Amino acid sequence: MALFGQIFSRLVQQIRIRRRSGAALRESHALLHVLFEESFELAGLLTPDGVLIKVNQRARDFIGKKDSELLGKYFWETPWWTHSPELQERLRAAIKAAAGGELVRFESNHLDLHGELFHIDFSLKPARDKHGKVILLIPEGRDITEQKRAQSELKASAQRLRTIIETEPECVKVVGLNGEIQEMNPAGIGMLEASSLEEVRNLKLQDFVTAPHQAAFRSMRERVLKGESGELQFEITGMKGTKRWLETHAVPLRDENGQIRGLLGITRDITAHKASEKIDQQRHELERQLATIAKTAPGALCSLRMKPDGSISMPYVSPRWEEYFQLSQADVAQDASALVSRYHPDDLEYINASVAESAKNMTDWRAEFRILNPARGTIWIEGHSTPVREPDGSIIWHGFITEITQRKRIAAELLAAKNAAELAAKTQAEFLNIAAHELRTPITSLSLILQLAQKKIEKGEVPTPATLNRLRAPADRLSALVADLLDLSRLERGIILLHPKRTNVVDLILECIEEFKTHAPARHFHFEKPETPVDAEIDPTRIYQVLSNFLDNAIKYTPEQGPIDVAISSLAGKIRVSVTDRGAGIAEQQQAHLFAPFARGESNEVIRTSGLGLGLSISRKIVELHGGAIGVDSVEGQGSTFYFELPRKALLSNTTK
Amino acid sequence: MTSPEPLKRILVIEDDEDILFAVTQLLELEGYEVSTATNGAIALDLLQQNELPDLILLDMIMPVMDGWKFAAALHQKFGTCIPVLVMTAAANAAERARDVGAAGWVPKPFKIEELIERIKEHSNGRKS
Repeated sequence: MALFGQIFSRLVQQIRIRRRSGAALRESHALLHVLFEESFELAGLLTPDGVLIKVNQRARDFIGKKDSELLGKYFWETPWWTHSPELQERLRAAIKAAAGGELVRFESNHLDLHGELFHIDFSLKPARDKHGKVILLIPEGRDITEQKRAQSELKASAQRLRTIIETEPECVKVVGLNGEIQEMNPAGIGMLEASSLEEVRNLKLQDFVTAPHQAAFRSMRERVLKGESGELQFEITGMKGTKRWLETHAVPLRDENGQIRGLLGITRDITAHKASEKIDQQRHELERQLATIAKTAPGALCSLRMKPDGSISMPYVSPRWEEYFQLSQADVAQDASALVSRYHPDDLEYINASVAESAKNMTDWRAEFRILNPARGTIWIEGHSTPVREPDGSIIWHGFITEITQRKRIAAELLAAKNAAELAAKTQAEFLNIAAHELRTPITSLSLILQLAQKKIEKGEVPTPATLNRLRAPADRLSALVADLLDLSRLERGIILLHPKRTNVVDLILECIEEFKTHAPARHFHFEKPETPVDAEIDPTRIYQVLSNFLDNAIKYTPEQGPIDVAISSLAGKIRVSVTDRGAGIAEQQQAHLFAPFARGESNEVIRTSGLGLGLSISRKIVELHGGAIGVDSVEGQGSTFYFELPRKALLSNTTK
Repeated sequence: MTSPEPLKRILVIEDDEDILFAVTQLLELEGYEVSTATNGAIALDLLQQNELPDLILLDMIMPVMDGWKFAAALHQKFGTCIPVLVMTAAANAAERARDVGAAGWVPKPFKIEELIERIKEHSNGRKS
């Protein structure tokens, strides 16, 4: 534009000033013509009043017209201008101004012969003669359509970029070589808790960084200022004291010479992310700890939720809980009613009552109860828990459950042992009482007979041999009692050993009956002797003792005329011997006590006679040492059958051979 | 020792023959009239067939009819007019005496003087 104008003016001047020869002038003119015609820009010449007197090729081609159609016309009436009256007016004003000596320049839109819009940088210059009078006007038009479009695009793009940066939720900032803030978008200003850019401009970014991150931040900045790009997560304290986690990406900013002048940073607020990351981490850690505790604790952990409508669920149960109840987490997570099926029916009411009480008073729950473990049967567990009320009215118990089956078993055993010990102590005391009682009877006899003898002597009489003979029986009884006591004591303590040998028990019975017949000839013994011998491996002396005891008792309890039945039978590997009397019989509740030392029942009514005391206890011990069993069948008022059973082949304990 | 006037006839019920023999002899030496029975049933028969004694010496543990059953039957048939002294080797003699409504007891073994003392104590309490 201007360039062409300058060259043209200079050429005109040269023509004027030099006043060269006609040939030189012609040459110059031809040169000028070429330059004028071939110029890429639109150019022409006007008279000071605006008549077009010359126009170049480019300008003609623009509207597709010939010189003949254009020259001699007012410039504003040519097709370049006729599309816009407004523009025509502007041109006329421009011509007027240029004719007055001004340089006029404006941009305008024009349509070419195809109707395409061009943006033209238009100028109108006055050309003067040597007197300074305006003799010509030089219009020039330079096509700046492309430039204009590029400019407008650049502008739009810059505007878009600005909008983006302004509304960007991330902080965009330009920082100087020393870290001073030069530019920062509103997001960044917000992160620093400032209200405007002015408030933070020239503050140093590193001053916001918390102490633990200072070193890393500095090293990143140094790296970027050396030309690398940098990335860092760090923490800042805002101007109002709020701490934030930021993640920044920075690149160096260079000037036109490639010199680094600062850095551009894009920074994201990752506080929430960091917090949730931290929560996740903590949660993960807690879950790990819980799993470890649940795995290694000597019991089970669980949570039970009861909704206001009474329905229950178990949001958490540990693996050991699953073992105890043989129910999986999935079985009870939504609906824990299956739990009830595991309660021992006898404890169901107790469990429900304990839970209801805990829920009602919000007091700690503690219970010991049985559950039915399908794999192991009944197991005892103990539970502890504190109820917590949830906002929706549910109650949740976080509980700890341990198995106490072993403890319960030991407690039961201890109780049994204690009871046994107490019973033993009581039995011992009773034994002593009764032993004393038993011993006093013969002692009383001896004492009274001796007192009688003494009284007679005092009166000058001589005690008769019959009186003195009476000393014999109680003395014998006393020594027999003492012998029995010793015998029982030794049997109990395992001092007495059996001497088993193959014996025909039938012969043994016959021998015993014969002996009793000599003592009590009036008695009738009935024994159905089997045809074949019944052999067994026994200590014959000791079994004879048992038989004697049975027969002795039978005689005592059977009225004179009543028969005494003795029987033997052999069953698979065993023999059974029984003695039946026709006495008063023994009440069922007393039968169990008969074989305990001195036992004659606890109630006075059944104590009928003395002398029974140790016999059955000794008999029981002897039979048990043979590996057999002793017992009684009795109906009150009908008599009793005492029996013993022995293995034929020695299952003997406590023996010598 | 002279025979006590208000109380002369004593029934001794005792299953142990040696004790029965010695007690009887000793009481006779002291001037008492003694009748005997070896169990409660025999004693009841005696009471029903003969003049009632002034006092009964009763052993507790006896076959056929023991001291408890005898005492119950006695009280049922004859009321409490005859004082009963229990002779017992049990440790809880007082309890036993009270159980059967006896007037007193003598623990076995005993000295004859002790027995006579007890008998005399109850000679005045007797209702004829």
